[in-house]
Amino acid sequence: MPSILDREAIIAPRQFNRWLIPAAALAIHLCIGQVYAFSVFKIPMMGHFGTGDVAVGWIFSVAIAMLGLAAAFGGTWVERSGPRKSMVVAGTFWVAGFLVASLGIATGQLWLVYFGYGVVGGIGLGIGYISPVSTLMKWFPDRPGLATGLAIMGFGGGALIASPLSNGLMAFFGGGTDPAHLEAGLLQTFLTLAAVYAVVIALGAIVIRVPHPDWTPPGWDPSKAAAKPLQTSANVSADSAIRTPQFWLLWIVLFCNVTAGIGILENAAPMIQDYFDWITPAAAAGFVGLLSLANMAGRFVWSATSDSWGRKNNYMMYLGVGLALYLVIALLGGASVVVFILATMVILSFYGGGFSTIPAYLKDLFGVFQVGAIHGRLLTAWSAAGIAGPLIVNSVLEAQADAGLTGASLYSLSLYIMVGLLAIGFIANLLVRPVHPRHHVPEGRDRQKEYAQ
Amino acid sequence: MSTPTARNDTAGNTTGSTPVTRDPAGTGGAYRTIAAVLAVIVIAALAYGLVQTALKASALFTG
Repeated sequence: MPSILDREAIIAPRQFNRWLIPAAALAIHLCIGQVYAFSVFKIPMMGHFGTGDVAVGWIFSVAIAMLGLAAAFGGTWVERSGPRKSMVVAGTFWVAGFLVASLGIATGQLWLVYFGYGVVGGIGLGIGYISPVSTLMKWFPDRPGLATGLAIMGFGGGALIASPLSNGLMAFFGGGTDPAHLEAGLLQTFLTLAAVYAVVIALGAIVIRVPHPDWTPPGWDPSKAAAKPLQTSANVSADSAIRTPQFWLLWIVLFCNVTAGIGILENAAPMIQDYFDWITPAAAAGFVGLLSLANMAGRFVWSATSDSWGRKNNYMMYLGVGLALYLVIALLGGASVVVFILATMVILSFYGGGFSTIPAYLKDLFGVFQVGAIHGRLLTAWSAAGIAGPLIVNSVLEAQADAGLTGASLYSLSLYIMVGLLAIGFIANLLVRPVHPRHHVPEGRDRQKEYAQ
Repeated sequence: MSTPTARNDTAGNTTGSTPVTRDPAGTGGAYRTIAAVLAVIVIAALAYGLVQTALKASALFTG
């Protein structure tokens, strides 16, 4: 008899309303998306631990590195175990990470925060990120881009929620909004967030269902979908997928797209102030908020449009138009604040769209059989970009500043480097072709494996 | 989660194979209530985040 956590226990009846599933997927992504709001804890933690910017910054870096590793190594297990078990495990790691970090805050031990939030929480991030994605694509085989857009939009949305919520909680528990009060409310804020995330992820795990093996969306004809260019009805296992050129071409595409987005994100506030010296710090913070909205909107809008435009065409747009917009900023950005803001917003929407369209692209090329595991392995590109992006941008900026450059000219070289990266990504995407049939799992074996586990 | 319904789910059977006459996954009244509560939480949280961020972004035009 299956456990209530097993895939067999959550097979939905055939007339189940699939629109109940996105809320379950969003539940976990909204919670783990908090990681992108970690910067709100930076100043209170620096005061609490009596340490610097870099030491606290490492907490976020460790968490993101663990996200990539956990997604890569845990992907096959997630696919085998089903979404409920993996959501419960991810939620347990994520909440335990907060609790261990709380212990570190209470005892003044920074290493416990690295271990708790960074390592333990980071494992929860990696498993949680991929856990609902393949399930959603199985529920929406007719609109996989829309499905993945919905889930991964939640990751962007999580930061939008956690940032004001964490600030509000720290001010509430600490008794004020100045740094000393925020610092005083740090421990209670971590404990409150842990409790909230535990409840929301548990509700998501209760609601999640997998489709019945015989279920298909009403009126959907799989043979028509398979007839579209680059969309296969065959399946490729995760182990075989990483031996195909298509996997590595998409790895390069994701790496280049994410690195280019980080090029703007990493220095958005100082960048707009260097380009336009009349922009105040408050207005620069508003610009960062605007970019966050563009990032989140892009995750849903572009991924949903990829269902009709085709995944390859969407990436042509992200990388090709993104390249052109980087050139516009480099050559004309300083001339008009409107052009600068619009160009950066579109680039950030492509950055978000790149994240949410990639699982559907993988599904098109490798089938739905082990798409979660393949997606997990591809996310190592995100980890690599998370290290390379800031490293490139910050070291170039430092070198330019040392050379005596100021204002907009500080950024020219790093913008041209991003143009080069996007060109590489564009070519990699252009080279993507259907996977050779020798990599396909024999028909019937994939289905048996999936539902017999 | 553990509220099996007695309804026959063959009505939506599109292929005609493997008839199923019960709902082992429990998608009855309690399930629908939890799903609705979760949907409300998710929508409210997203709305809160979007409004807060839009307010912050408005500083670009007012600050």
